[in-house]
Amino acid sequence: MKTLAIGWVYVLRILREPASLFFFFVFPMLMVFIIGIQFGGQGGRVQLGIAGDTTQSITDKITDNLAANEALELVFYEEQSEMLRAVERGAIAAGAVFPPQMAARIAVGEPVLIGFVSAPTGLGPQLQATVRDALTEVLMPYRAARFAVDILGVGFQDGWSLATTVVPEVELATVNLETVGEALFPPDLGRFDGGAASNLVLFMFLTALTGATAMVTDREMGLDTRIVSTPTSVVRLVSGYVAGQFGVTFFQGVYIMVLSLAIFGVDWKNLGGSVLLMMALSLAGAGAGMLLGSFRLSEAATIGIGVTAGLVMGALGGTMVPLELLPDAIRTVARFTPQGWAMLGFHDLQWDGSLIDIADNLGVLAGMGIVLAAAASLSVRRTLTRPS
Amino acid sequence: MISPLSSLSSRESPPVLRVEDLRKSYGEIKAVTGISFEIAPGENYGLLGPNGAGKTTAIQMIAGVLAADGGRVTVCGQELTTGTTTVKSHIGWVPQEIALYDRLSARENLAFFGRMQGLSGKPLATRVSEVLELTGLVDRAGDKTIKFSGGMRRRLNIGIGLLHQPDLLILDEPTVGVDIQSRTRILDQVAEMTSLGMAVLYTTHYIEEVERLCQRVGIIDHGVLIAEGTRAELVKTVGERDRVTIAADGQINAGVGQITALDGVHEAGATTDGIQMLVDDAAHLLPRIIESLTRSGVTVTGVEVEEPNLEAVFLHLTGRALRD
Repeated sequence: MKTLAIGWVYVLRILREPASLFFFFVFPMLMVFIIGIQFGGQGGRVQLGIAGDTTQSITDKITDNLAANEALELVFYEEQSEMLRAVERGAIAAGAVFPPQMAARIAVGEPVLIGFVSAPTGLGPQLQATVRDALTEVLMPYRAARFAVDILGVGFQDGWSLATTVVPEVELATVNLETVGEALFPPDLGRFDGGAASNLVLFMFLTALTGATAMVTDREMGLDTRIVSTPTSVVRLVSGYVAGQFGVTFFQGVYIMVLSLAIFGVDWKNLGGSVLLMMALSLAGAGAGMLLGSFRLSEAATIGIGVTAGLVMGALGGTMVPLELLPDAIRTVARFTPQGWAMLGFHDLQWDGSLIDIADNLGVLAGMGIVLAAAASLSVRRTLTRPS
Repeated sequence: MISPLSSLSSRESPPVLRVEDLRKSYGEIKAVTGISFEIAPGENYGLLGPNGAGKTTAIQMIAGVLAADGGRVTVCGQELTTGTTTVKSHIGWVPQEIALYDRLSARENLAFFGRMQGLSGKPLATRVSEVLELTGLVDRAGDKTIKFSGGMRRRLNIGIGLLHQPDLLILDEPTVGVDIQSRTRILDQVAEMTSLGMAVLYTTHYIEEVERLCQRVGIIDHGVLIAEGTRAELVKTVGERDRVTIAADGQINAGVGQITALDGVHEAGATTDGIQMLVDDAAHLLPRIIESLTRSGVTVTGVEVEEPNLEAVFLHLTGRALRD
């Protein structure tokens, strides 16, 4: 009961501190959104704008062809200028503009110019090839018909009849795609999915480490000493702090998970596994935070060390750049950080892993939490009752 | 230095607190050097000393929050260390700094520390209400303490120490930085606790508080308990006398001659508006002095007695003033 009472007071104080609310609840969601926008899309669909005269049967065929590509999402615009603005501000990767009377102009041998606009960087320029392929397939019979007109001297309709009869019988060469090795990301990884998991781990641990300031404040105000003057042991005091920090960190994790699911449609794949990972990470974070808080540093020093350690460990643990992209040495170091074990756990879950697959991650994180909390308890006992 | 334990040998009740040869050093600095004393039930014991004398260090060891280098603290017959917990339920420690949760209300603070003392349910709710009443904070019970004045915070700080009705209340400079009104209220509260049978260990560097509240006083300086006893005993130890100033007219010189002959009257002499003298025990001798003066034809219009105080005792023992 005493442990829970200390923990509850710990949570209440943070909930009643306006400044902490922004850091705990607003900031992480902003980061999920920003990182999702910047780095999302490895598994998401690329948006291609379509403008101009899209009422022709030939453009129907071309857009159908493009829409058949699962990596593409077509966005239709009434006005060409509107599409240009969308490309300029990065809302879509590129855009194609179809002129009017394309079929008629091809029939009389008049050149047809299809516009393609994209930003100079990003995926836009690569889409030009995709659009060209779609056009080639649709325009192939038109080209054959024109060839018949030019060579045989027949009219376009006769040439068209000949071309549409012959072309389907031509055996086309096809490219057979075969993949080797492991993909960096699951094929169905959404725009925000990876970023949400990384931010979840990064911010939960940062929150846990900076929570050490509550312990510093208590020490400066003599509250921890006062609690120990009652029939309450140091172990129970630290357990209470750990319980409170665990509650705050876990609550933040649940908050990020629920809102990212509701607002950004993040697919957490295995909700139960994700929740267990968050609980284990919260315990490890709370233990680490309380150990930091036991070192009798000033509040400013505690925040500085907490944020620095949280960011460095987060980077090493793969919360900023996926572990799969990091050198082997860093991946080995990641095994010594709670963030690394948490990220590997979320990675397993994103690849449809089960609870058994993340059992080692859960065990290591919980073990880290218990060891760190025990160390914090010893440290508090020493610094509280035997100050130098 | 005196032998403090011997002064308690006549006490009938077993002591609530027994401190024996308590010691604490910080590196080369000896903060507390072998202090010993006892406090009986219902007794208010003042630990008087200047800032930095070692009062707070001693108090923290006695409260079981600071590990001693040596010595022994026994509360209600049970030995106390920083590792023991059950015996701490006999103690209510009120630290010098105001140890309250700013973001919690007065009621929430009391309820929390009540739980830490092992209270729960209805007894806890009852005690919280009683302490709010006692500290005069009923109207502000739901307000966060960050909005409280210094005096209100100080009162609540004391109230937390009273929640579980301890056998021993330890107050470490409870009136530092409070206004006169709050100070009076705090001193009244402490006196009330003593009258209810609670033993009180009261540290301060304000002599008037010790003289008003405490039955016995220990004077501490440089970590050493240099004297201990009742106020009268301490004053007697250093041989101080009461200074009596009598406003009078009539046969002043004849009156001086008469009272000089009385046992216990010293250095009597006429002043511009009366007579001044040093007296061993003014309360006892004053009726005889006035009777002698009246018989000598002196008309007494006023009497002022200035008793020797603990400041003089401290000055005598250490060679410097208490607040130097």
